[in-house]
Amino acid sequence: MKNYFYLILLITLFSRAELYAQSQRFIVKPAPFSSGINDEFSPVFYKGGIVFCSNQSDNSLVSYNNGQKRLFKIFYMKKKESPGWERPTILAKEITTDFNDGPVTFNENENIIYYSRNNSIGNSLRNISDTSNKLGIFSAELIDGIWTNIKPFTYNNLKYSFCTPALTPDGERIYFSSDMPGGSGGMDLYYCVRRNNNWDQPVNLGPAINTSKNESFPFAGNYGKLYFASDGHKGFGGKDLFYSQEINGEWIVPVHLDSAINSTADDFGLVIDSTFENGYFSTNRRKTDDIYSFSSAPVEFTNCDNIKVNNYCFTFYDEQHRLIDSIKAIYQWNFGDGIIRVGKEVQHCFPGPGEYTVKLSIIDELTGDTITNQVGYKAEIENIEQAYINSYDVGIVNKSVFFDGAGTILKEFRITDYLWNFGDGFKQGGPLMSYTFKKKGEYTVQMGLLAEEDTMGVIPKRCVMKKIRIYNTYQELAIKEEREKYELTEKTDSVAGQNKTMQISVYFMDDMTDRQKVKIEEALKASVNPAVRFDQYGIKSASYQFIDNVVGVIKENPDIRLELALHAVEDESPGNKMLISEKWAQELAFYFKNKGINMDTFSSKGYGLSHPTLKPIEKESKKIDGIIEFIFMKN
Amino acid sequence: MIKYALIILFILETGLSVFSQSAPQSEENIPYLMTFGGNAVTSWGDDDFCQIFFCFIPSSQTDPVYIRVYDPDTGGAIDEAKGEFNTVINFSIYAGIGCWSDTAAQSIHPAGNYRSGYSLSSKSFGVDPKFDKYWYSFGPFNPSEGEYVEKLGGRVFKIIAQGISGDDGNLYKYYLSTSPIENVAIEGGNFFTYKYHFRLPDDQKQICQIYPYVDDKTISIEVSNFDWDNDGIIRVFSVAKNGIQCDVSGEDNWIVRKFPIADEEKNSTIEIQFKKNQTVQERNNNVVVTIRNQYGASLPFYVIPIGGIPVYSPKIRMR
Repeated sequence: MKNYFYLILLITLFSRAELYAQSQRFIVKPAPFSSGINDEFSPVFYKGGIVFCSNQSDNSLVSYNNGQKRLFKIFYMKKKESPGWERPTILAKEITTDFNDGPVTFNENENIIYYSRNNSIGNSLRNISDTSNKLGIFSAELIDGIWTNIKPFTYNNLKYSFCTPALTPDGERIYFSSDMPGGSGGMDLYYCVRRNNNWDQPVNLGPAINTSKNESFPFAGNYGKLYFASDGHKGFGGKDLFYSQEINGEWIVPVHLDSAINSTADDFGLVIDSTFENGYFSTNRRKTDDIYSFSSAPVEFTNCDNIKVNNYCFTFYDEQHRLIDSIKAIYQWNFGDGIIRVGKEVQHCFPGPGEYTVKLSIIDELTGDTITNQVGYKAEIENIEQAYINSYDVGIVNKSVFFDGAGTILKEFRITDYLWNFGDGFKQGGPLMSYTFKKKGEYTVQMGLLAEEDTMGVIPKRCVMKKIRIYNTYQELAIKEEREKYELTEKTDSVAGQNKTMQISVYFMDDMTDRQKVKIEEALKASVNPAVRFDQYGIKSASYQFIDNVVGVIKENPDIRLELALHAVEDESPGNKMLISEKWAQELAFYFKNKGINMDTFSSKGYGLSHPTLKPIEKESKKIDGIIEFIFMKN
Repeated sequence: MIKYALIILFILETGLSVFSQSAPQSEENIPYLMTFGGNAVTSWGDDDFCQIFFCFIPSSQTDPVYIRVYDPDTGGAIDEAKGEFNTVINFSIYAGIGCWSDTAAQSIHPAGNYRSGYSLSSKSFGVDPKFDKYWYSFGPFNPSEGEYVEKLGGRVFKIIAQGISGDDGNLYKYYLSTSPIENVAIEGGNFFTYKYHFRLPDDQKQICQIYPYVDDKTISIEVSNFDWDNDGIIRVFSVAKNGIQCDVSGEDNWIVRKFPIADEEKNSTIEIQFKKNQTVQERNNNVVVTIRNQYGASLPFYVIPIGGIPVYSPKIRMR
C-alpha cells in the first residue's frame, strides 16, 4: 500500500511537470478558461478580453452535433477587474449559425470582424458531417452594437475551404488558409491586399511557407511577423507553430517556436501582444483542444560582438603570370554580369554573397591571337558567419529606423527568437524591426539571438551590436540653387546596357560646423561634371573628377564622415533591386578604399527597396531609376 | 611505366590525323631544315654543320619504311649559295641498339660516337639538278631494325645530315613514308631532334614554333639559340607560361636563358615561338636551338608535339 502511494505521488509529480512545462524562455500554462473537457482554440484579443472558438455548450435551443461533439461557436470572455475571467458567452447571435463558426479576426478598431464558418447554413441541412459543406470567410461590421452587413469573402468557393482569417494590424492585408487549387498541397496560406476597399486576388505565400501538408491558423503580428501552424515544416510532431517575416518580398525560413510552446501534439492558433511578451496558443497536448497562456521570461545578453564588415570586392590575378613579368599579353576578365575588366590584376565588386563564374581570356598583345580562351574560375563569396544587423548608421529623431537581422549567418544555430535592445532592455521581436528614437544622440542597438535548447537544456545565445547616430534634422545642401546641379546623374546600367538616371541627394548633418560645410560645398562646386556614371567596366572615368573631389575633402578633413546610401526604385524587377544598388555601392566603396580613404570615415551601402530614402522619391519624375544619398556628418 | 604509356598514348593520339610525318611540320611553319657545308662559316647560321634527327616508328608498323629527303642536293633555288655552289652534304641512316640510346647520339655536339648504331644507308649530294626540288628515298628499311625504345613504344632510326665540304647552305625536308615514290604517312610516326637547325621564313608576318618535350625529372630548362641575328623575339608558351621572352642571340653567337619548370609543365610539351622583327626584314635567317635541363641533358624537339600544342592554363587567384 505504501509503495502504491509513492508510485501515485511520482506519477502526479511527473504529470504536473509535463502539464506545466517551463523552459528558460517562456512560462507556459493552461489558461484558466480551458475546460479540459470541451475544445477551446484560436484565441484573439478583443475589447479587453478574449474571443475564441469552442464546442462547449452555449445553452442555445438548437445545437446540431456531429454525433460525437457539438459544433464550434465563437465565444467571448471578458477579464474581470479583479483577477479572473467572467463566464464565456456567445460573441454575437447575429453571426452565430447552427453550424461551425470561427476562428475570427478583428480590425484595429474592433468594429469589423472576419470569421470562417460553413458556407451553407440552412436549417434543412441535417447532415452536418457532410464534408461537402466547405468553410468560407465572412465579414461583418459592428454598428450600434449589432454585427451587420454580413458578407461572404470575395473569393469564397463552395468547392474549397477558405478559413482561419487573420488581419494585419493596419488592416491592409488579410491572411487565410485554403485548399483551393494551385497551392503546394493540403491547406496553404494566402493573403489578399486591400485596394480601394476591396481585396486583391489571393497570393500564395510560396514554397518558403507552404508545404505539401497543411499550413493554417495565421496570426499577423507587428513588423510583418506572421505566425502560423504547420505539420509540413520540421517540428516536434503534429502541428507546430512557426513564424516568418517578409523581407524585400521574400519570406524568411520559418522559425520554429520555443520548445515550451511546441510539443509533439498539435500546437496552433496563437495570438501575441504587441510587445511579443505575452500571448495564448492552442494545443491538444491534453487530448482536447485547450488554450494555453505564455509569457516570456527576461533574457539578458552579455559580451555583444561588433559587426564585421562583409567584403564583396576582390582582386583577381593569374598567379603564374605574377611570377614572370615580361609577358606581353592582354588579360580580359569577364565577370558574367556584363562587366569586362582588362588588366593583369583587376579589382571587382560582387553584389553580394553567391557563387560567380569569372572567365579569363588572354590575348597575345603582339599577334592578337587568343592564348587562352574563357578559362572559368568559380568565385564563392560568403558572408562572415555572424549575427548581423543591416540598417542605416544614422537616423533622425521621431522617424523610424529599420533594422534587419535576417542577414545573420550562424551555422548550427537554429534561431528561435530575435530580441532587440534599443536602450530599454531586450524585448521580443523578429528579424525585421523598426524603432523610433526620441532624442538626438548615439545609441547602441543590440540584437540577441536564441537557438533551440540543446541536449543539456541550455539555450544557446548570440548577440551583436551596432551604433546608430540619431540627429534632429537632415539639412539639405545649403545652397539650394546650386543643388539642382547635383540632382540628376546619368548611369549606364552595366547589366542591361541601357541608360538610366540616378538622383543624387546631398545631406549635411546638423552637427557639422560651418567650416566643414564650406569645405564640402567648395569641393562639390569644383566639379565640372557633377555626376556619377557607370559603364560595363565600373565607374566611368568621366565621373572620377566629381568622386575624387569628394574623396579629397574626406581625406583632407578626417573630422568629416560620409555615408553613401544607394536605393533602387519601385519599377525594377525584384531580383535586381538589391543586386544593382549593392553592386553600385560596392563599386563606390572600392573606389574610395583604393583612393586611400580610411574606412572608419566612410561607408557605402546598397539598400534596394528595403529602406526608405531620406527624402521621398519624386514619383512623378519618370526619369529617376535610383537614388544615391551622400550624407555628410561630423566624424 | 604509366609515364611511358602516357607518352605512347599521346604519340598515337596526336600523330594520326592532324599531322603528317614530315620534318619540319607544317604546324611548325618552318620552311626547311638547314645544314651548311663543312667549310662554311658559322656566322651564316649553322654552328656545327651537322643535323641529327631521329625517326620514330611505332611498334604497330611492321611493313617497310622509307626516309625521304626533299631537295637533298645543294644547288638551285631553294639552297643558300655563298658564291658558286660547291657544297657536299652527306645523309646517313643508322639503326640498331645504341643508334638513339648512346649518349653521344643525343648530345648537342656531334662528337664521339654520335654515329652510333649501325649504318643502313648513306649518300652524299653535291650540286645535282636531278635532286633539286625532288625527293630522294632511303630504304626500304625493316622497322624491326630500329632501336627499340620502350618509353616511346616503338623503334627509332637516326638520320645524320653532315656538311662534308663547301660553304653553302643545304635546305631540305624529311618525310617518313611507307612508299618510296610518294609521301604516305606512317600512323603514329614522328621525328625528333635534340638540336634544331632550321631556316626561318622571310615573311615577317610568319611565326614559327617548335615543340620540346619536358619530362618529369625536369625542374628547369635552359633555352639556347644561335645566330638569331636579333631578328625579333623568341618566346616560351606552355600550360604555365604564356609567352615569356627568351634572350635572343645576335650574329654568330649563342645565348642562354634559364626558366623554372612548374609541376604542371612536367610530362608535357612546351612551345618555343619565333616572331620576326616587324620593322626590319631579315632574309635567309638560319637559327639553331637547343634546350637542356638542369643536368645539362638535352630535351627532344618533336615535330609532332607530344600531347598536342600546349595551351596556357592560367591559375586564377582571388584575394
